[in-house]
Amino acid sequence: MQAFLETTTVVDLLFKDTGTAEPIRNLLKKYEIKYSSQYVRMEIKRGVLQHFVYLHNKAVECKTLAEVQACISGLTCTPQRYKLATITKAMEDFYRDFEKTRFSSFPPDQRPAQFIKNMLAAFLRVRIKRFWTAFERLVDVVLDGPECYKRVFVLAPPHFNGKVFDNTLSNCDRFKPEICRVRDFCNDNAAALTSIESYLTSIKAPDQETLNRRQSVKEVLRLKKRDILRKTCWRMGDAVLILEAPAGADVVNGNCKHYDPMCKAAGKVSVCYRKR
Amino acid sequence: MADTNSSGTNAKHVASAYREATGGELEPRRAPIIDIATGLETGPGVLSQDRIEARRLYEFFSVETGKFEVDVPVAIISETLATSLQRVRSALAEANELEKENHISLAWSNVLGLARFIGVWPAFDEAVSLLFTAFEVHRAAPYNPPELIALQKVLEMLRRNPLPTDTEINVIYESLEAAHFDLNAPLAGVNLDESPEEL
Repeated sequence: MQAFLETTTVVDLLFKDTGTAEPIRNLLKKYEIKYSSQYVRMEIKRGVLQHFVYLHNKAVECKTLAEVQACISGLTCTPQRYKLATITKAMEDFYRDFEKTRFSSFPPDQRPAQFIKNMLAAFLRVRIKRFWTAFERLVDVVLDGPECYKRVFVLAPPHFNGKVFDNTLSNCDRFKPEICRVRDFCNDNAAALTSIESYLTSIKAPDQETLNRRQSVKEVLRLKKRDILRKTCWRMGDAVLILEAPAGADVVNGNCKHYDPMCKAAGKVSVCYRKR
Repeated sequence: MADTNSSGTNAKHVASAYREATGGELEPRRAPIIDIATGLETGPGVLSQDRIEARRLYEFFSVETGKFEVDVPVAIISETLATSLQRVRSALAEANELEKENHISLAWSNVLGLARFIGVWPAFDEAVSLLFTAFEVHRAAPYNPPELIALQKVLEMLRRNPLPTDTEINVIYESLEAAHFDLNAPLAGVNLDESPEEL
């Protein structure tokens, strides 16, 4: 049996606690070959890693945790601000409890200075540094149907200069012909993509994510010779991943609501590990 | 002149203190000859990188205490971890469960004492963050042999190099993870999924 791991699955396996990751590991035991994709790696680099890198760099730059929190609250982009605040809060709770329990009896000169801030930075640094290799170890084959950041402009792991990380993601629209074949990929899989579009159109009360995806897929199918812009590509990311999953491989995902029907439309099997 | 006298007196003190500490043996301890290019000992004795310890590189003879001591943080860390490692080894060899847990508590107590060095070296912070997380998530459960073996491996590695390389950090992470320590516990309950508004 074969499995294709989409972005949420990889994130849950590599960055989440045992309670979340263990059921997925158990589920994956029955699969002999595990696939994932360069596209998944790109999505993680521009998603989770971007948040981790921001937080890490702020934790290194700022003198106190309060300063880090002030930086986050000053951001204007609401979903990112909310996610950063949630990560920081969770880590703060964990290490504050640790600090209170373990170090309260220590003499003042033996207590660590800025313990939570330093632990936050160290925790994130380990995850950021090991992601690239951990991803490759997690799966047997990394597919790259759309040739995401191939050849000239390579999708690079975050670069650590000894203090902070550089996680720059080049705007692929600028170098499209040299790094991306998503247009050819979509044209080659036009039949499956059309089925997905038909399903998306049939939804009566679509959520925002579905609306974005539907609009993007429609555009891609309508203008078959035009380069697919980054925004369009990213919005239909889940559809690209379903198309990329090899025939016969189960698409292991954590998003039943969107993956189950899209996989069905594309003739793939969706295996969702989260409850609806 | 004053300087010469003073240093002569000092040398006498050192010699007598040395005699007391070594039981009258005046033969100085010879440091092994270490080849700079290979990092291996080339003098007589066993050639092994395991023998090059941070403590041995930094230790000095203290006139006040009459013992060999270290005051360099890296060497102190290495020494503390060696003590913890010995405790973990004792725990592994212990048949009595309560004695075993006692050894483990003392091992962790030592490791926690290293907290004062947090914030000095990023590599040390990374290693400590993994160790502290492993400790915290396991506080309510007794240790089993695979967990102790993983801890032993990690402490052994850190004792040899308290400022581990990225590769060593990876090995530490994977050893602890393979022993089912929940290293990502601080992120429990955090939703890392991408929201559509972010695109």
